[in-house]
Amino acid sequence: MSEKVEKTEKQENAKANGKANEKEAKEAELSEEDAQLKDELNMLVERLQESDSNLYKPALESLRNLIRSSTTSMISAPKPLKFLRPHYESLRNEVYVKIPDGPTKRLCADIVSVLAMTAVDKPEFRTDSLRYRFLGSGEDVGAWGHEYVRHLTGQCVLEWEAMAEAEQQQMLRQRRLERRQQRQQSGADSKKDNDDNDEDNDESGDEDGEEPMEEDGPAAGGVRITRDQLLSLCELIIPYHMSHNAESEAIDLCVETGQLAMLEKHTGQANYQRVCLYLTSCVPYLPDEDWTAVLDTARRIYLKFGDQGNAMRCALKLNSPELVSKQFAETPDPTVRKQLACLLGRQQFAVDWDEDAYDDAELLSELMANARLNEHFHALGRELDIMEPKLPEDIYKSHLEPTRMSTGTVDSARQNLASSYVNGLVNCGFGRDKLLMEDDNKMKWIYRNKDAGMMSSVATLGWLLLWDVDGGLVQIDKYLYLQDDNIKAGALLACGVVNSGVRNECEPALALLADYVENKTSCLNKAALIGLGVAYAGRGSGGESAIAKLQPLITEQGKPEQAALAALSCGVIAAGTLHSDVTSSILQSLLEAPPGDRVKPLARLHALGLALCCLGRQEAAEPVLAGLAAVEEPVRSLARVLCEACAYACTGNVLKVQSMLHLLSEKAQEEIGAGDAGSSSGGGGSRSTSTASSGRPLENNSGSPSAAAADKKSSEEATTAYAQGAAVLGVALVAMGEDVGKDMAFRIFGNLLRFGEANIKRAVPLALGLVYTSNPELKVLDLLSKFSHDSDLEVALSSILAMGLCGAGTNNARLAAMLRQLAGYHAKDPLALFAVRLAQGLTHLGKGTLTLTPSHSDKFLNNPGALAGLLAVLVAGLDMRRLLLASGWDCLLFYLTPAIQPRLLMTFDADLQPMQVPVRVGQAVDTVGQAGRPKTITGFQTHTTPVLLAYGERAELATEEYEPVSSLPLEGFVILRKNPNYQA
Amino acid sequence: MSSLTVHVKWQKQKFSDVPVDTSQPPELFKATLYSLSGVPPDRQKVMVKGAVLPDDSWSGIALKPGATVMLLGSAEALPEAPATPPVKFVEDMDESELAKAMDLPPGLNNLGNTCYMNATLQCLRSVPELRSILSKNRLAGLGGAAASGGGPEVLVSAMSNLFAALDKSGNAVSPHVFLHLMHAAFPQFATKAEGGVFQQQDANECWVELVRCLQSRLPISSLTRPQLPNLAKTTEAGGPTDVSFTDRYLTGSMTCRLTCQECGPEAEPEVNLVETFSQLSCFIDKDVKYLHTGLTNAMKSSLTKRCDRLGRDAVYSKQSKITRLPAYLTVQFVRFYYKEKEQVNAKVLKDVKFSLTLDIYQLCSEELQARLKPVREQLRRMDEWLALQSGAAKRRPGGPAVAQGAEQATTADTGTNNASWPPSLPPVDPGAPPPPAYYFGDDPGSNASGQYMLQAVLTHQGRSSSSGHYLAWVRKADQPANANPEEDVCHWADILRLSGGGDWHCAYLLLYGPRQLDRDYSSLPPPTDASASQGGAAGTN
Repeated sequence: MSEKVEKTEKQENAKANGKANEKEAKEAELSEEDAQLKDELNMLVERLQESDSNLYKPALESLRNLIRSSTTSMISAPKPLKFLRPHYESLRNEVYVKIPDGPTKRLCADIVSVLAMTAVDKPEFRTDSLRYRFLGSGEDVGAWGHEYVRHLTGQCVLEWEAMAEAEQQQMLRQRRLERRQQRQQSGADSKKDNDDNDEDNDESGDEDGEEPMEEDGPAAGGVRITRDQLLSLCELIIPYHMSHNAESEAIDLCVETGQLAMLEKHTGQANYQRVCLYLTSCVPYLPDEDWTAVLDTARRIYLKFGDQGNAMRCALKLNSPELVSKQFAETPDPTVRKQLACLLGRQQFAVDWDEDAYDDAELLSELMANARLNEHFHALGRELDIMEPKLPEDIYKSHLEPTRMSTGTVDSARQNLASSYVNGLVNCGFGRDKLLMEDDNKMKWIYRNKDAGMMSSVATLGWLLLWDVDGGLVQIDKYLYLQDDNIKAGALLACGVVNSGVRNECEPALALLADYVENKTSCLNKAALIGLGVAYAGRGSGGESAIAKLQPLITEQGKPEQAALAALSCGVIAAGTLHSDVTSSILQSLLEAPPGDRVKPLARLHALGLALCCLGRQEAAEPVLAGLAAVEEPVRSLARVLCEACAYACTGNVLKVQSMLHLLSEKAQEEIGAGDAGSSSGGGGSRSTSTASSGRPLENNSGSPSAAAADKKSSEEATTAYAQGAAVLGVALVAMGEDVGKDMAFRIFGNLLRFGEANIKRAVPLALGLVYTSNPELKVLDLLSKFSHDSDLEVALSSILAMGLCGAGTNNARLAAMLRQLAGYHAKDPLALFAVRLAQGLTHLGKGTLTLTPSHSDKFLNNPGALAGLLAVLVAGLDMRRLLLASGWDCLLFYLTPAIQPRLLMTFDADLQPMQVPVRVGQAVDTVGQAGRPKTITGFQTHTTPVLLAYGERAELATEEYEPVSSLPLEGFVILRKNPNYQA
Repeated sequence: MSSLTVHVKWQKQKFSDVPVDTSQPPELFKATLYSLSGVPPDRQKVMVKGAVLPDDSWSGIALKPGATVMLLGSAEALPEAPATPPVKFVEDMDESELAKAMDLPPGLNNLGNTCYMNATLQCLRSVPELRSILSKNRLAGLGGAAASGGGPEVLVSAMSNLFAALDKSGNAVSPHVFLHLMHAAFPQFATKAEGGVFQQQDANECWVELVRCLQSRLPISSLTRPQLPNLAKTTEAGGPTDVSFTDRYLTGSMTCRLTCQECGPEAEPEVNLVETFSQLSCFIDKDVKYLHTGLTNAMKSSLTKRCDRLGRDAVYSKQSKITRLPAYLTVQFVRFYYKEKEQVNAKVLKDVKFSLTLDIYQLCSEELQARLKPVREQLRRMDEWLALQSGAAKRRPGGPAVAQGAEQATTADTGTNNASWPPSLPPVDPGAPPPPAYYFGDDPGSNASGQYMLQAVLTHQGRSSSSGHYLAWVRKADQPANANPEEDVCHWADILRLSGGGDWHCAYLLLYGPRQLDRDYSSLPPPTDASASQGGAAGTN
């Protein structure tokens, strides 16, 4: 055997002759000290290779001492390891084997295990460190230094994966065996033969594959590692990592081996925050089944160390009412509970809690209901001195527009409507404006709008008075007594809009709107349906009574418009709850809908209602997807895509993104297929979308084959086109969860814009608007600006609207200039100008104090109602001309309301009295996995609360005098208390 | 089930412990609420847990003791629809209504290199007197009668028909008839290039021909105009009763003094000639950078003529002075000259600045200058008022945006409606006599001030007169409109950019109209600008 080894060594030497020369040259340069060390090591190895077994132990011990005493630097390997590397194989395969069992052999195993670090580049030695570790004396894992532990960690993971794979194979084989036995029992069948053949083939393949693995065992010194062994090693490694600032490695090990409980055990007070930060940041990159476990571990660790706030964040992210309620009830500190109530209010999460159990129940319910949102927002407005209402012209600044139309005194209904929207958006939440509520000309402006425009104009009152249920409804109420149906409808919608995001125990929105959901007058009906959806958006179980009103309408026959809006509103209300009644009735209505209704633009909204129910539910949404199989095309593909995208919304799930992209490439393939003339109908069938190929009745193809094929082809194209727009939004929806995914999505969208079909191109800007909502990054604006001049009007329209979404509530000057230029460019196209005006209004949303982004709490949580609202608008935007910007349908824009939130930081004392403290606001820095206590913000400025926070900004207190009661990110409403350790 | 107490929330107020007796009809409860809030019962909406309390029964309402009830309603009067008539929206209008509402000038379609004619017509159409006289002629049947004939008469009637069509329609009009007749009357314009397309023509030629045509065929009848003493004019056609429009409104006259340069002024008596002109020319020499320089240069020229005294040809200098100013003054930039080598009418692209107002007082004879003075004095006073007011508007914080740069250029209208600022103009007394006319009382169609403002510009883009593109830029109320087929509105600044110096449109013909007074300033004191005088005082201290 030794000869063999020598031979191989020689061969290697021969191979790497050139390199060897270099090496020799280097060796010649060795310092005296090194040369001495090398000689010593060589001598020791030689001694081990000799047959005198008495010398083994001292030799090994001196080896050990030499290795341990060497200090390592960051840039070079320890000298002893470097010099011993050529001897690794001989030590492993000769010396270790010949030493008799006993402490010496174990010592030798230790040495081999350490030396194996130098040999990981050879596959057969890959996990040697680990294997010989188990053969060794099992002394303190950290004795050999950090690098050694890291190698062990890595090899543990490798080994664990191999085991899992082997087990899976084993299980498969087992199952197959069982099946075969069953079948043999049930008797022979002619059909069975085929299957058997297949399986036999499979099996033989499997066995081939497995053999090397079994060989692997003996090669590694006859060691078979068991799980228990691995776990016991983990038990040693994890504390080592934890105490040596290497939490990330400990966590990786735990996550890979599924030993999260161990992590929980070994996390300490000192590092739990970093551990949890790492855990929660891992979540988007984990496979579906792991992420709940990981989040839950983080939650439990937080709880263990009394960090109620962050534990609640995790519970909310897990979307588990039980956990949230439990934690809310078990929070010991009433002040912290108030802070949690603020968080719950922001997330719009309905909690079951016992009102009688707390002294401050009224206050808590007020916080959870966001009842004071309006009041606090006004305080912010006063602080920033922006209460003065603005006119649309203050936003347009049309004297700066490149070309000016002398429209002069002529009223354009569309432009006046745009001005109404802009007025509503800009003065949103401030309760004052100059068009609708000025004392003397209340109705004048309304009458300068036309028909449905009047409705929308009145409804913008809802935006103006947003969140002000007590004071605002009165101002809307009087319009309910008027005769004009459009005005009345607008007032109804405004009532719903005012209540968005605010709970009130009297449920005025439901009380006022419920009577009109079945009204014969189309506009009243529409207003009531949309209004209810907006008012109860994302309310989940809190909106049960509203759902009860809407749900019967979904299945009502003969009123597709009403049914679609009811379905959408139900979906918005029940976002992410998988509400069984809603899903089943929408499914039923999709099944029963007459074919004509399915292709109408409204069918998209209908399907979206179903999809919204699945929001963020991942696998739990599978039954809904299964239910869709029976629905006929083209709605099936569309609904499937929407449901899948919603189910995996914000998860960053790469597989889902890939499947969506696959669908997007579908059309191109079909065209290539069409190139082969006379491709049979069967071929067409096989080329149909992967999601759609199942369940199509074969009868369709019989009859006149050619006609049917052609027919099918066109219908298939329509189907694909129909679903593709949704798929583009789906990519955005899935990817919007985390930053890496966002960047990847941006690149993908760039390609789609360049190479995509028209229907894809039209959707891409909207998708960008979704990913970058209220986050006007320059690269996005540039891209959108380019396509806002596109010759395809629909692309231009969606780009313009997307620009508005990207800049929503930012007052971004660059964007404002771009839009002004666009207003000039599109001055002659009323529809495009309308879109530009809307975008301008959105950019200045709430005079730059509001945001549309559904994510909050340091981008960790997503408000489902807000996301649902955004999606409703975007999906409607897939058909700009017939839906979102069409006259009479522009009121769908009010679905944006649930997404409107102030982007502020306001501080309160324990009695919830507003308090002004200095805070530093700066760009957030990613600190995940960094050692020590890195700064979390950069380029900060110091302000006094209340203060605005832009997207990607973070705040920290600039005073030691106070501290937040919880360690939640400083966003929204934050309760502070005196720092007990503060010394002035 | 009978009486219990509830809390009632109304707007921001809360009424605690309001008694309710659910065995009584809800009206009673509403009456209680009325006494508390002052909201009449029929305007009350009482909301309990997502339901509105009906008027007649408590059915469907589960009221718990101590529950909170929301009262919605106010005693405020209901808003009413405004009394103004319903708004007519752009979306509801057809094209002609739209053009009317937007006050867009109607365009003329290009019938194949006829932009020279279109541009000329649009410029001429900007003269209101011409439009009115044409329409009167048309109504009087003159046009119709003449239509049977041929030549210029028909052309005039066609023009009046065309203008009428433009007035009526909001759309672009295709001047087929006019073009046809013009080709018949002036065959030089009917040249065709290979392929049967009409060739581009020189717009100035067209202008001159049309004006001449109007001169001969558009008499101002004694019925429509008061009889006037014939002035020092050489009218070729028509006696005192039959003065042509062109003579009145478009033609001026000047006296020219010829002196032989070789003999000197003393030697030979000066020869005074009276000449008429329908255009002033601005020759573009090396030193001409401004229109005014060009015009002044044109007043002095030299010519070679036989000198009786010397008995041979000698160089005479010719000094012209304007003795009559027409109401509408046409200025031609002599941009085209015939290049022998290339046999083409090449164009001088040189930048010659022109202004929105033109004062040619300096070019007038002394007698005329004396006559011009009173009106000029009034105009000067008007300017002072306007300057004061536009300055005031600028100074006023947050004032209306009338002081925006582009609008500054509007000379006539700015600020007159600006009566609220302290040194404001007294409002015009409706019974007061109308402001002095722009013409001399004894000479309608003349200019009484020597001041003009830009009315229309005819521009050319291209390198020779028989190629390129012509456009007319016509003044609207306060903004110039680009009145060729693309109906665009632009700014004064854009107009001034037409001065040449590049391949963009260069002004070729300018049509100046008379500056008009908006009131009689002679009775007004000169404006005193308080702040200005204060500033002056501060400066002297």
